[in-house]
Amino acid sequence: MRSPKSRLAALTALVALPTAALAYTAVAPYPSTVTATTYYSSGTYHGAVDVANSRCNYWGAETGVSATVYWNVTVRTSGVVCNGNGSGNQNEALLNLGSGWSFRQWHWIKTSDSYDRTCNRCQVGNLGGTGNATGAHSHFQKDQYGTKNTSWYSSYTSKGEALDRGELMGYI
Amino acid sequence: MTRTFLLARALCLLTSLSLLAPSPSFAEATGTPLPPPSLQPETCSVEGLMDSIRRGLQSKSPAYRRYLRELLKESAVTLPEEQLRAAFERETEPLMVEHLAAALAAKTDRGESVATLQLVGKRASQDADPAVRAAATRALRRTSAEEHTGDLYSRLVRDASPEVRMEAATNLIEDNQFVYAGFHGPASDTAVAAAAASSDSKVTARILGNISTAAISKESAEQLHTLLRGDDAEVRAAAAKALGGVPAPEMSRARQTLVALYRDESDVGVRTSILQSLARLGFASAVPELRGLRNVDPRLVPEVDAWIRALSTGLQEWSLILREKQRLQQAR
Amino acid sequence: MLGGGLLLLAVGLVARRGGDGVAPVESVEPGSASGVAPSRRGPVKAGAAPGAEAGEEAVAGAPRYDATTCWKDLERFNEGVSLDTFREWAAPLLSSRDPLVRMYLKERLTELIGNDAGRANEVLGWTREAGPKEFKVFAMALKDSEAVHLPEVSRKIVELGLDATLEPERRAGVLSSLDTQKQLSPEVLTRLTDFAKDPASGEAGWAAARTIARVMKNDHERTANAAPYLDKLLNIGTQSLDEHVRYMALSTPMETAPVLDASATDGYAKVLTTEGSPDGRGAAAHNLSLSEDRAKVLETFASAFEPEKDVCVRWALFRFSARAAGKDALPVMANMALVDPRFQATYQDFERIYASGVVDFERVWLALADQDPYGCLHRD
Repeated sequence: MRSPKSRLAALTALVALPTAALAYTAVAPYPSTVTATTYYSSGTYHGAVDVANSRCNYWGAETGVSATVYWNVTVRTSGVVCNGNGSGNQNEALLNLGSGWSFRQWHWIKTSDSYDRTCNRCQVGNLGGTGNATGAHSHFQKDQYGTKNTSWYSSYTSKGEALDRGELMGYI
Repeated sequence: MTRTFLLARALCLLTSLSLLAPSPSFAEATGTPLPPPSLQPETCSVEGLMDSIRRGLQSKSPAYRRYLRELLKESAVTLPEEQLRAAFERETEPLMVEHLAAALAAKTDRGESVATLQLVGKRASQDADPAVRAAATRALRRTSAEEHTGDLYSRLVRDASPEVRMEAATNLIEDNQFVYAGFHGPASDTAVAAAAASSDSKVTARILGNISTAAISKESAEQLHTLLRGDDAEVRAAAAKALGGVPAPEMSRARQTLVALYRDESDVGVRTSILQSLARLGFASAVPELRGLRNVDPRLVPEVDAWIRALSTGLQEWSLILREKQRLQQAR
Repeated sequence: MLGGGLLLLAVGLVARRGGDGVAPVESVEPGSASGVAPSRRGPVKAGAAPGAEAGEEAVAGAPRYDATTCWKDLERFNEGVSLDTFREWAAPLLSSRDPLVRMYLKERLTELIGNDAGRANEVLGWTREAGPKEFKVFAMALKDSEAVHLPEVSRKIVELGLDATLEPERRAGVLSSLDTQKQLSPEVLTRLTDFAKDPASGEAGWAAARTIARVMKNDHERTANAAPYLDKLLNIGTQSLDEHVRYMALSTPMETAPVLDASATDGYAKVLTTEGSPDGRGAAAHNLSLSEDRAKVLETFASAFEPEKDVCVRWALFRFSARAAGKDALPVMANMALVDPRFQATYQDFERIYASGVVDFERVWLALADQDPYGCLHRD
């Protein structure tokens, strides 16, 4: 935003921020139900997409981005946890999107697949509920410098919707 | 390669190029009402998919062509691997090789064995036909190939075919940005090593001018200093640009080298790159340095001033400073 | 808790997928860690693995790939389909569980619409009644078409999106087909703003705020001017009664990263003291970190820190001081760490990073020992 004096009627496109060049598709990692988006059922702010499937530790937790990318995998809990073991203990797969933007996938159970890896929808663990959770699910969150962004998920992805594996959740 | 074969390839290419524009529908063009197609779901097969793709190359619909390519890639994890490999190995048409190679690489990237991707790497480096080598190289773009193919890229950038060398450079650039977000040391080191290994100065310059060096090793930084002293101005300019993005432990040395080089250098392109890198290495603290260099080359006084103005905004991110510099220059 | 409709849907799904699909589960709710969320922890209703306890490491689940589907006659569909026959011909594909073919349908429909206003408006008409999966294909195809930029199309999208006879989710989806617009006229911008602030608009109001933000980004990339949009987003962010709509309006400028002028700087500075939601105050601090007047921003952050009681907002004021002024912010950050000793270790981390020579805030952020030292991302 600038003063009117220096506003330009027509510019060639400005240098796009690195994030502008990226448009990855975020997809459901297993057959699932969308259990929360911006709001929880209670009306509490959530600001992310949760997809759930009740078969804890059965489904592999595939990384939910349909592109080959490098995932930084952090294990905070080693055992099988389906129903939560406290805030901050969630296992995380983190995708660096540049310019301070991150995409995070939480709550999976550690397995021999849980290591930093470059892949397209590969498994980084099993579906689980590590961290602050009341059931097995995957939480997908986008943020810039630690501030949550709620606009990435598709307007057509709504709470209660059944998603097939690989079905669009949004664009990051 | 026979003339007939070359002609067939050229015709195929022309067909696919001339049909890029989207078109409403064939039925509308002819005005003939058609009965609805049956659209029955079927199990996919390698041969069936290959036939569809061959015919689909003639389609006027880019959406359909994209779909077929994605369908083959998505199918790779469930199709019989032996059939997929066999089809890849006997295929000689570059476009079809590229489709099959992309599917084999996709299978690895879904978390399966690295062997299928390595098969593509082998074809990219060893096939007798340069067009096939180029196609197989393209299929490795934005995949995990750099992690599973050893020194493949240092070999590809020395390929006899300029097309293969340039495709390899594009892979390194796009992998660096889109797979690794510019912050993965091994990927950046692979790119620097390949740039240094190539004897094609255009390839070296293209790689160095377009990758992030934010996480490179000390050895890679040393390579950049070496390339900075080369004979080719394009390579020196790209190396100077790459030095602007080095990690913290390398920043001080890079700054000193670039300031000294600016005075000794006569090529305007190299000097332009040096100014950018000094701005990037120092942000606001580079302003006195830039002022000190302002009158060394009268041709670059406006460029120095543009950097000083952009840095004076006090913005704290390189991407925003670049954007601001462009905005300020366009506003003048 | 899922509604009856969804239960029916889920049961159908399980039957179709032979039992390995979705079973209804309790919505996952936050605990009380954030201090604002009521705890609704309860038993998982179905399916948790028996004996699922912490301790031993899980055996990696075997990869389970869905076989892809090849559609007999799709080539003929592709060559022969027209807008007139699309819905009839595509019905078996639209009702299939094949995401790949649905994505193809969306792209093919975009091609069929082309740059023809009549065709675009016809597809828009389909969105009135379409079922959920069809709706996605139609609305997304429309959004990506060339014709969506024609005034007679965008005007009709606005009308339908604001049509109160439609349910909010449908209106939200319709409005989102404006996301690709290159710009919004002052009149449309005002209508969308008023709608987003209307308490009755619900999810559609949330989507309207997002559309304004997305078009702001498109327009800013061409013209470097975000002012009219930013003004409206600030208006929504301060006046909407719905906290979630306010957050959407307050947080989305981060995607465009405009440098704030004096008026916008004042506006977001006020949000720091007037916004009730900590997330909203944190988003305002985020925006303020890119301002023409860095000194004023540092002063604002310094004075807001002590009265601010939420540690996550304090963390926002702290880290965004560095984004605003780089290492010149260190004295301000040191004072913050004196006010709240929890920030001392984090301060030392920032000091160490700047001392190493790093100047770019993106690299500062990536070099932090902990990007979430106060558990602010872990509220889920």
